[in-house]
Amino acid sequence: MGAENGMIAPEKFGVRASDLIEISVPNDLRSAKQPESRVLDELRRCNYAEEVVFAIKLALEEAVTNAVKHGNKGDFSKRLTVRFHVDPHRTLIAVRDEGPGFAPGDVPDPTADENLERPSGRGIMLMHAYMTRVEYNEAGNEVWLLKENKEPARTAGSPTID
Amino acid sequence: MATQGKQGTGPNGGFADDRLSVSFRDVRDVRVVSLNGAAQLDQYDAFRRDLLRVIAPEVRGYAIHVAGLSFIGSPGLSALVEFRNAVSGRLWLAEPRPSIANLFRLARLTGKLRVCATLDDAIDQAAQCG
Repeated sequence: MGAENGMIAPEKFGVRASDLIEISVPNDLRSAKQPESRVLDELRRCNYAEEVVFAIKLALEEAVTNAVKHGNKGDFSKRLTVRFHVDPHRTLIAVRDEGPGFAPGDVPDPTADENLERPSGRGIMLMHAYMTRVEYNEAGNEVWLLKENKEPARTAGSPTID
Repeated sequence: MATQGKQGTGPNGGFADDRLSVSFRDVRDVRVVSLNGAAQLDQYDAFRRDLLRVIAPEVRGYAIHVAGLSFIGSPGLSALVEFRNAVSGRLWLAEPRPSIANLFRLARLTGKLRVCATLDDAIDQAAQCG
């Protein structure tokens, strides 16, 4: 299971394609809050710990911001597509823009002394820092973010298996 | 997002829905800027403008009180770095939550954005600026 024709299959991350929820919105940051809100709702429903929610929210926002501003270059006629799956053990999110893509390897290291004050690349670095896996499709216009939830919360109302 | 000349509200819980607010007050020639809430995707341009708007020539230094800041992304970090440069480094951050402090560390910005454990410490440091 893996990339075919430059596409990434969600099964690669342990998620069936049919389990992904897809939301497509106009290319602006206000509209982009809609899929983010849905993902956050799912994280709450699954009782993710606050620090894990922080990590996923941050990575998702960095991916969305990059897609809107750099991928789609702020073009309001383009769209942003977010697909996601949340369960107690993992969250998988794909963010796709309609731009030509980019080569992630060409982005300068934002933690290098000479780049610390440059905003370029900081979001990508943070996505890698906070997520379990980050992968781009071959074109570089779709990023997949996987977060494994190591310690799913157990609450009084959540089912347990002994 | 509103910029006010009053003391900001206290820390709030969660970071999904409470929008970021910027407020300020002056203490001993130091401008204390309070950030409360969670930065939202569509707020960063306004956040950047609001930060730059609190700059005043009569102020010695700036203490950014971030105890109530529950979330900020890389555009917000960039706005803070821009603010720091606009005030020639006369800036100290105070009382970040662990998640925010960790974010500064990961971005290797702790050398640019100096962090104090308490707001009083940050005010003391800022008050010593020339």
